[in-house]
Amino acid sequence: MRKVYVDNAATTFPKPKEVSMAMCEYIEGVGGNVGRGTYESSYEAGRVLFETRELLCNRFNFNNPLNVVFTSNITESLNTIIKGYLRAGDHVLVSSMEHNAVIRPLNSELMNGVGVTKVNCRKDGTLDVLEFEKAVKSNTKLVVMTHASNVCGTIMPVKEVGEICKKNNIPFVLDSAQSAGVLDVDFNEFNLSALAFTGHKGLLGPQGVGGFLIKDDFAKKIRPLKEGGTGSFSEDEAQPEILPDKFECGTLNMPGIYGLNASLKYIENKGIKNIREYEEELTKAFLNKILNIEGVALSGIQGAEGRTSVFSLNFKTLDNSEAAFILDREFGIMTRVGLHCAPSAHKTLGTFPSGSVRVSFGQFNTLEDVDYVASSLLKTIKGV
Amino acid sequence: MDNIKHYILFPSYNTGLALEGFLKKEKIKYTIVPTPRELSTCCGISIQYNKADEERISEIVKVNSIDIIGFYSLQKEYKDLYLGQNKE
Amino acid sequence: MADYRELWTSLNMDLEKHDQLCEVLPELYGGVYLTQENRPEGMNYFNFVVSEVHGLRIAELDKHRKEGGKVLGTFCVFVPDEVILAANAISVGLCGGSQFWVPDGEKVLPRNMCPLIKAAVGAKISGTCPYFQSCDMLVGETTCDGKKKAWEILNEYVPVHVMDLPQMKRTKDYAMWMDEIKIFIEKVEELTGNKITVDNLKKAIEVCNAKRRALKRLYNFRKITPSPISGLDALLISQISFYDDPVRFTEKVNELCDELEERAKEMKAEGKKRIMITGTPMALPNWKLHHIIENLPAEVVVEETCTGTRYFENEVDAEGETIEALIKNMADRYLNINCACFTPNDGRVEDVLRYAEEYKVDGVIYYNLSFCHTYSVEYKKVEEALKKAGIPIMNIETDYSTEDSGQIKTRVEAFLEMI
Repeated sequence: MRKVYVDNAATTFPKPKEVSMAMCEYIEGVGGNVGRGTYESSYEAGRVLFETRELLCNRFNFNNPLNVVFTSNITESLNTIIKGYLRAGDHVLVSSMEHNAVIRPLNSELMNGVGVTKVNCRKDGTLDVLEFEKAVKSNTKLVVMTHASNVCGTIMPVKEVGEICKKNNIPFVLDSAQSAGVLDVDFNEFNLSALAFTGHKGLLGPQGVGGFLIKDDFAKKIRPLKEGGTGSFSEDEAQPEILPDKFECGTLNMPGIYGLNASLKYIENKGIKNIREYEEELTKAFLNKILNIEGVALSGIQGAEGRTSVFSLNFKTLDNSEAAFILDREFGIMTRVGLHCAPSAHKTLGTFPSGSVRVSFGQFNTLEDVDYVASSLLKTIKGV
Repeated sequence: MDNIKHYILFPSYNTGLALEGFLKKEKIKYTIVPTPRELSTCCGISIQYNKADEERISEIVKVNSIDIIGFYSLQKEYKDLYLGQNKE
Repeated sequence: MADYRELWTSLNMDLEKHDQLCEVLPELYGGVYLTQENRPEGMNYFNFVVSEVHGLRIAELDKHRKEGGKVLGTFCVFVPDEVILAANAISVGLCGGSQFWVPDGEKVLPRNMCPLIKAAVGAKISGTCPYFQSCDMLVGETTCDGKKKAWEILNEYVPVHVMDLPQMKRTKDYAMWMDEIKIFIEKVEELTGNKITVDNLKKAIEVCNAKRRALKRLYNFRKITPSPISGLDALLISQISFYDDPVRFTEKVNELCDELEERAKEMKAEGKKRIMITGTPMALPNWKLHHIIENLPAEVVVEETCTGTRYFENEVDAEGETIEALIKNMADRYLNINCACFTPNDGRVEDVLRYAEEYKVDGVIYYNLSFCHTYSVEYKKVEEALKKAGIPIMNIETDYSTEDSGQIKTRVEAFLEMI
């Protein structure tokens, strides 16, 4: 049976072959730990590590590689920043489309005396910037926002939000999980204080590596989530203050970083503009098909503008879980059904608590895949 | 004469509440009071009523088979336990 | 009072001593309440509750416990009833309003201490309060020094869970209080074996808010001249609200309010002076001051006390998706109570001034239970503010004994003539 993977919003598959090659190279050929040894392979690994920081700076228009911190994934990055920065009496502003990686740590912070406001987005997931501005309070100390929704693909007005944050002197943290590697994510243009990223989605790297880029003045105010060995200041029993050591301790995911290094180069070579335009082509093709299918409803933006290639579908005549099951078993199509770790987004879109079937195309899907998925959807509906 | 109060006593508060329901419906004035110690220690509540309504109330009790202990009259003067005076 | 000997025996009560209480209470109630003229019909329910005070409700608690439910005793308006209700347990405010219990309290507590605390401890030690005997756990709080230490003694008789109420209201104190509520939730879950969820907590919040609304509705009638309900009756209702079944109680209060709407239209002013009482709480059956005042040409129209406005002002926001959000909402509402055990407590002065205006008060009586330092020190600030606003105030410091009743009556009489 033909297999079509359309769950790229969860993780991209396949990866460029350069990625696994680089990871193997590290494990089989290099193997040394970084910053802990003085042998050649340790230096070699250190060089690749530093180069990866530089590649990330290029990717996001950021100028300081040492202010690039590696973590295990973007959830860890967001937790580090949110939990490390907020104090009792602070107020945080987010949109109602955020992922649980933002919502859940903020929920815990309520108990620390932190106030949270979720600015309600429209039914299609878009944010009214004026509404957002009105929600700013005198004690608003942080804004966290996703660049694009992982449920329905709506792109948020992050540039305008960045301007509001700049005007009000509020640190702005961007969740780039769904945009890095596809949309232009510009640290300076968006007036960010920190940019959280993950390696295994749009950046086409392996799972287990992510991180954040952060400005010095913002980093100073954040207590680290983890503390331990950094391969530096080893005579000191206190965690160092310098970056990236302050937030990077313990052994890094070196195979992952080697893989990310390769995938970042792949994206640079291919050109992010080409990647984006290709996905837009797939998006347009898919929309043409499914907007004509009776029996399935699309949440969020109905057109191709202002969105990524993520689609939230609701089956009218059968249960979503059943539909996803049939799509997989009968047609080999791999989707994700449920609430996508974003109950708040589903509540905004009107698909809570039933959730939806999410179809998300990636770099390695083809127009044939789009056709196949669309016709399979139709068959699934008719077959019932 | 002035200090004589009239009470209906009950075996349980449920019968008291049952009668209260009828009195309310018939718009007969009444007051639920703690049963004066002098009369009984059976059930906590009694219904105080106006002598003039006794016949009507008897009728209601009979017709609806309400199980009461009986109608009682008592010379009752409440003491002001705070200020140590007698009150009507 | 009724005869529930079997039930009382099963609760390990001292029947003989309890009998003495049974003799006195109907007499006290009759002399204070039943001698009032022209009481609303709706007060019959509350007459009923008092008549059955050691019977019906106790039987209800007993039934609940036999079915596996738990009963928690509370002493303070800061304890979140919502948490107790959400776990399907019953919350009862425990009294301490009668001199009857004080001598027993003085066996284990010093004499120079708040009578409310002495009476509460005495009620437990003497085995004459079936409510105390029905509790599976008591909930204490670190409000005042007296209570704070008294829990140590009560804990020898029945398990006490103490909530650490902050002394101030800074943001970090709110965070601390939220944590205390969280700990309380865990304790109640452990005691009852029931999980507190967002759903059942929201429902409990609604029940408590409905009760608060009903009491607020009742008090709003007292803003009218003349008030269609006496201060004594309003006080009794407020006292009963701490331990009666919340849903039934709310229904009965609303019924009474429906009647008061009609009454208000017909009543004519009798020139009674309108008095506000502010200060320490009046636990059941402490009716002394109201009785003295209302037997003079005066009516008590509002009480800025824990057995008054502090109990029901402000609702808990029921909006929230998680337990943490609801805990925050409860902390926000409860920490907003302006008790003198907080420093600073400017909010209380604002409340007193606002009520004086809303209830069109002619004079204020500051009610201070003996040995209560927090409230007695606060008198100065309240007096200054009221003097500035041109509202007369007098200070009464007293306990539960009847010895000073005559003296108080004379002073109040003089005060009423002056205002």
